[in-house]
Amino acid sequence: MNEKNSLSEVLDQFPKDDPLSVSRRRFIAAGAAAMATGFLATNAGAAPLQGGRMATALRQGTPPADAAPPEKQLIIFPADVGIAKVLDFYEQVYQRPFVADLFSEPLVRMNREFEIIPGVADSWEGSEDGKTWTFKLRQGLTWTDGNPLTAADWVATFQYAANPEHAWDFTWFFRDVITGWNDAVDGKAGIDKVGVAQGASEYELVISTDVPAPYMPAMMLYSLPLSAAALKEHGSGVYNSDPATAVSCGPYVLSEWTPQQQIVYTKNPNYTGTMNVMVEKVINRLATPDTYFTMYQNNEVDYLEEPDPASLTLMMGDEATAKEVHSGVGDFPTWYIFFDVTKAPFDNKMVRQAWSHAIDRDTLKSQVLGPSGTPAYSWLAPGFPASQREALQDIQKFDPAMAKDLLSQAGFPDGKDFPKQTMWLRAPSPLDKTVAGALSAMLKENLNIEVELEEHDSAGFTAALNAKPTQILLGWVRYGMDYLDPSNMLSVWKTGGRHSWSNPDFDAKLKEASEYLGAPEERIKLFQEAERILVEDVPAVFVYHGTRVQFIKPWLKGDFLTPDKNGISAMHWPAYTTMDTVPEEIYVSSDAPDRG
Amino acid sequence: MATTDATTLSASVEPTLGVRRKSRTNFQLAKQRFFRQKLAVVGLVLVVLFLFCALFAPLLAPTGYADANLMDANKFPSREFPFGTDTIGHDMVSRVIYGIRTSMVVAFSAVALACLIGVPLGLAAGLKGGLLDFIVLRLVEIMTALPGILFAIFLMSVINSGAFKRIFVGGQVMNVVVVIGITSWVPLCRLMRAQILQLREQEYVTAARSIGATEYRVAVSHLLPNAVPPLIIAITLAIPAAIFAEAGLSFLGIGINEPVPSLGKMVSDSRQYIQLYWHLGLFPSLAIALAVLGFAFLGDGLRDALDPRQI
Repeated sequence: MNEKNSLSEVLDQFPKDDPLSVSRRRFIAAGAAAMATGFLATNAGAAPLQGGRMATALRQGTPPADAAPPEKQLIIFPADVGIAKVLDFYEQVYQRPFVADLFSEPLVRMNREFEIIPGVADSWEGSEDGKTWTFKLRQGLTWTDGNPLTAADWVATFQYAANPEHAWDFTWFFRDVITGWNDAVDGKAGIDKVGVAQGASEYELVISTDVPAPYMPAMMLYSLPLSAAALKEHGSGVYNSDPATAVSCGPYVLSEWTPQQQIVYTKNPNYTGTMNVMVEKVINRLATPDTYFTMYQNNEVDYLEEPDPASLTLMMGDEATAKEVHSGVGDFPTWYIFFDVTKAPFDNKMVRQAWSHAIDRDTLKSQVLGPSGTPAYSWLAPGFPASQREALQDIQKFDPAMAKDLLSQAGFPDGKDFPKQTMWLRAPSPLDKTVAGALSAMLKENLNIEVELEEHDSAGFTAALNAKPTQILLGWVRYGMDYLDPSNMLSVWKTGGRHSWSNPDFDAKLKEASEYLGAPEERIKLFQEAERILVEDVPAVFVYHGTRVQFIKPWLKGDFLTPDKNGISAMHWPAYTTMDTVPEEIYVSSDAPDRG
Repeated sequence: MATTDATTLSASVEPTLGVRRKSRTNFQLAKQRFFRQKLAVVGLVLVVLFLFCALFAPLLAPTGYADANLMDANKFPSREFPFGTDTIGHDMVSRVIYGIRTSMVVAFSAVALACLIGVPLGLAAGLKGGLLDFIVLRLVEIMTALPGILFAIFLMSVINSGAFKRIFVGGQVMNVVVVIGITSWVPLCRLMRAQILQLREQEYVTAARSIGATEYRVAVSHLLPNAVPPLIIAITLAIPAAIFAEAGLSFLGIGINEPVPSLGKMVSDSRQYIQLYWHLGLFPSLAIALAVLGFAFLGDGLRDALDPRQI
């Protein structure tokens, strides 16, 4: 697999002496190392995975010399006021502010090298057939209401998530994986049949799968439990939206939620876990995304990601502020135009192909995206395991003549009689609007098709997308990894997944690859075959892979910005959450101005 | 005996000698009063200019409103692009001209809809009185209690969420027209009702009834024509409000969708670029301001010109 050329745009966006540049070899190594990590986790009986960096002064509890006093250990993040409705992953995934998921810890966490490390589970093992995973929980952890953290909390959480009355917006993630999940979600069986149960003791959690699932430990990055007692008392996970009823076993508690203004977390004085956080207070400052940059310039927030091109130009134009610009792979996102392939005109493959050839990704990159993304011709981003962008590059390449010809063959010569389309946008950022505008202009220019852009709030968009059948005929959206394995990214496209596309060959290949327990290279090849089927059938036009550009104030310090083994110096995905190590690797220095 | 200048004598004895002066109609008098007001003339010029832009946009604009060349993105005003280009390479002159067209179409259509709702309701309430008047007045009170722009935002949000999609099938421009029209009829209804209440007591109305004219004929042939002048003024002043409402909805992202240009949306999208690309917000803002001012001056001028105390 020759990834060199396909990585060049990602890696060479900045001059070699630029702190934002990343070595090509390191990038490939990261992907391979991450895959190896996934396989290490599959070895039943092997030593529990204990990856991660050396303990830092922070983890040892010694404040750095330049740290601000505790009362000034405050970080402020901007959060979309239209999105922030709940705070827990298992309440609703897509209706949470930027900083959430601090009230409990998952079974496993991810460090900055994309390695899976113990979370609440200090060890785990899989059965020979890969269908039963047993997680051993640390003992002595408690919720703020005094109840111990036990396997019962995870059982209650997963059952709540599978309950059709709850209508969780992420049920597809475990579909066809956890035993009993499909039937429970579809209302065909009780939620007590879901394959998440207490094991031999209350500190042992057993997850059963329908198929061999070597990726299960990595999947459990998304296992932040709700409190079983609080769920029983309140009937839903919304108890964490009110400081009076909030319950936490994580390093933070909810101390304030002022609607339309801010959400405040403060350090949990009764925390019994292992994360040693230094920041005393974390604030989500609620605002609309187009005001974030102004807030950042006024020191009203300390962080900003995915800035619009103008903001990035301004920051890079000044020597002092350029140092605040960081770039990383984020969650290897791919931005794409998706179709409802069950409805006209997109049930016609030639129409979809025509659209894919009408998008000039290179010009989009040079004129709009800049360092914020690289052209995408495939689903898996460069550097992600099994990525093969170069091999697939010609399938959806920019070719306006071919685009016109295909559209003509489909019965719409020069776009004549092609129904005017409306493209749904999900809570678009300024960059999203610019990109979508550019796509609309390209479709008009190259295919003579009018595409109107319609903005929707995140909840409405997600509900419409996830509805069965989907309510969105044409949309623009992104997806980034949940864990570093091709089975995750590719499962977005399986039958019954996120979109209406259904291809039995793809499903079969994906299943075969996901369950494969043999040589890693063979597993990669199987995933690549599945990806080829996906790209060739064009259920979506893949437009660009996002590079996560961040603005970080100079008073946010700590290991989180130390370049990782790939040379990336940025707040790693998923950012400030107990799913990763960022909260333990960050502090506020004494030169921070008064904020908050 | 002193002599007097013949012209003066002639002038002083003119009335008594019965020399006829050319008489002028009320319209001519009103026109004369209108053109004496400089601001009203300015307003008229602006309105004519904007209407001209709206009607002949495809001929005036250098490019189509959706035409964009990414390679020309973010260019400052120059000879080639007098208003510069936007972030994806649209020519801003074309975008502003078509944006004016959008504003005019939406504003005129919305006000027309408001008239279609408000004028008949006001006419009927004023003419009939009784239960109908009671119901209409209660409707007016309910609508008055709802803050106009907020109610419009609410309605647009509901429509954009997909609710009522079987009713609102005409596209986003139509949706905006309907919402602004629905939230703008109340002043016209109240005005029409007040006019009718005043006019129905006039002697010519009594006379018409006495010779057997039907209520419909009285309303259409006698009351409505006499209620028109103040209605014209109200309509003229309602148009800038509608322009502003559309700009406001689009500014908030719930009005007109891209790529159809909207001046409000252009202003909204320019905010994050204000430190770099000043031209993105300047020209659409100026266009909105001049459109609103033009109609406002025109309306004020008409009101003064048509003041019945001077007729």
